[in-house]
Amino acid sequence: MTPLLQARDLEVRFDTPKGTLHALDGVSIAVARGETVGLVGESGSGKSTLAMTLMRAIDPDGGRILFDGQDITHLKPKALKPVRRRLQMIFQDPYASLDPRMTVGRIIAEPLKAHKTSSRAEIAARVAALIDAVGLPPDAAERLPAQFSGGQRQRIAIARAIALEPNLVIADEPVSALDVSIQAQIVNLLRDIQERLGIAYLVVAHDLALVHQIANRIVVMYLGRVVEEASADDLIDAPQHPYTVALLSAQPTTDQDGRSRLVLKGDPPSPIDRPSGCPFHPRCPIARARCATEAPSLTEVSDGKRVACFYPGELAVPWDQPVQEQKREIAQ
Amino acid sequence: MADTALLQIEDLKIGFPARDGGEVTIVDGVSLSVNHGEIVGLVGESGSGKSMLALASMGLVPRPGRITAGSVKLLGEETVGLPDRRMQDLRGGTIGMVFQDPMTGLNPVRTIGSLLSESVRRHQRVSRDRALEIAEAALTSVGIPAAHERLSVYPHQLSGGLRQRAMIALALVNDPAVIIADEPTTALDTTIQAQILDLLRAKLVAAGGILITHDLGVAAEICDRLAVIYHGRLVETGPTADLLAAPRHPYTEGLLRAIPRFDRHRPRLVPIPGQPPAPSMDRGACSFRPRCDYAMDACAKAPALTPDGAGRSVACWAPIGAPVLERRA
Repeated sequence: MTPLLQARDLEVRFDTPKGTLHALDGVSIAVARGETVGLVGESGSGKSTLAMTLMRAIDPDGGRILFDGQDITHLKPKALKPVRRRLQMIFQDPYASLDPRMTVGRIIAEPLKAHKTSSRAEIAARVAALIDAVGLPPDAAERLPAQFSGGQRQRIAIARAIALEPNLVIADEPVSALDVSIQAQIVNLLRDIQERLGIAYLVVAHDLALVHQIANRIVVMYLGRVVEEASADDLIDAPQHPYTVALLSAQPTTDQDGRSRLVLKGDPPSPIDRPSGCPFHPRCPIARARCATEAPSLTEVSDGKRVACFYPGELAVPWDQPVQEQKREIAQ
Repeated sequence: MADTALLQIEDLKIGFPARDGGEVTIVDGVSLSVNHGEIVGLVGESGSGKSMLALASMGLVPRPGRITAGSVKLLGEETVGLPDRRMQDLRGGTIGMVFQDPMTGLNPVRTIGSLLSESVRRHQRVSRDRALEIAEAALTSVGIPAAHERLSVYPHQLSGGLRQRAMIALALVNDPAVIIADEPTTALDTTIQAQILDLLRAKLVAAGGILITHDLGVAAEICDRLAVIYHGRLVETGPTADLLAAPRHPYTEGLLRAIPRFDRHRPRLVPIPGQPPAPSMDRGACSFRPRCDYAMDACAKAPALTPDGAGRSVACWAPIGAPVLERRA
């Protein structure tokens, strides 16, 4: 079956005063109908650039984007409009993404009006249903975004995004600006909506545990490239790329689960001044001479599992040493 | 020999003027102490008062806010009501500070070397050259490579991770007795956060410190003891492992259930319903009552933080894990 969204070999470069920033370097990604793909990476990994490129907010310098089999890479705004209906976005900052002068009712009705799907009465009824579906109080339609908390604003943004029952919603850090006690509310809401409407999600986030919670599949990016892709469980249980291992092991957790940490040395390199060979090699604990000169391509290691490393699976998550013991060692 | 706490906060209250002419209480009767070699985690969500508590322990409550009651003792010396000049001597000397955003914690128009050496000379009688040597040693001790060259760069010329290391060096340069770190890793990437947590763990246990964070995972990684703050009051305190393994306050339990963890079964997250309270919300009843699954009639009156005699305290009329009969709603 054709994936709902398929991007192949995407290239995005930005010219900066310091040189060319290679934001996406041959990125391929696919999202099937109704599935949730998690996109994980740190700052400079290109994950947000990828989201914006898939939304056609950034024009790629190379590669193709197919939506439901249709090539949308270079579609003009008018031709893109029917695609936009089916492809919506949720942003990180619910304070910046909603027009403060519009009532919540108008914000949610906007996509309905833009796509002229129904009469005024129908729109009003639809807005009321959406407000209910995302768990906002019935009188929310008459109020302004400023009267709502961060979590409730994100509900407003979700109502707007699902108003046209899109096939795919791209969510860029949808809960990272929210309080912990509220994050779970929004995660559950996104899951419920998916069950009801069969919407596929591409969730961009830095928090691996959160992504694992909602994604079927996880794609890990580093410095403009996909370094690993696997089912969410496989990625957590048996990460193949050393960067994934490091990311997993660096995740702070409240579980006293006998895990010790693999702490990477150094900072991620600048996307302007990319290292030769494998982009991860300067920080990689298992890098060899070959890694400094040759870049590994993303290769299928088993069904649905792809990794860009010459030595996949060689580095294991350091589970053996209890955290408490490690603390003591450092204290001495 | 009786141990004097490095930092002892007692029954501290902080208020801000309200629009109606009254006063809104942001921190309401918090007591917290830090002993030598101990890292205490202060965990709370936005608006809980955790950052205000940190600022108060450094004598930095922003005007028009003020400490309305209580005491903050640093190495036994009362700091509430101290003249600004004396407080300035303590800050950066006896007490070191690490903030979330190194760009606000480090003066952007000064080189790293001049920032550090000035702080050294403020607190120690040494020559300019000696101060620079101490500064360089501090940069090296926090893992900044090429420390000598870094003395002459400006904060913005460093990466986020190195900038945070530089701020930690600034906090440590005069060997403070206590270090207060307010969300020190929140702005950092996961792999850099791990580096900085390792560094903080090593540095904070050498003195004593408070780590203020919204992230229970971060607190769990490096803290010996945790204090959970909600609506300006501590609701639960205890040794980290005990508190996380068996939370007694429904809010602590709620936070733990709301966090995703790596579990193949992916149990549905259990959110805490409702919203965190505004600081101005009435404090007569238990502040968590409107969001609490276990709320009962008694909760109309706010419970006090009560020690159990075994190192843990909880402010709840029916703490989780207490005998069932007492828990009856």
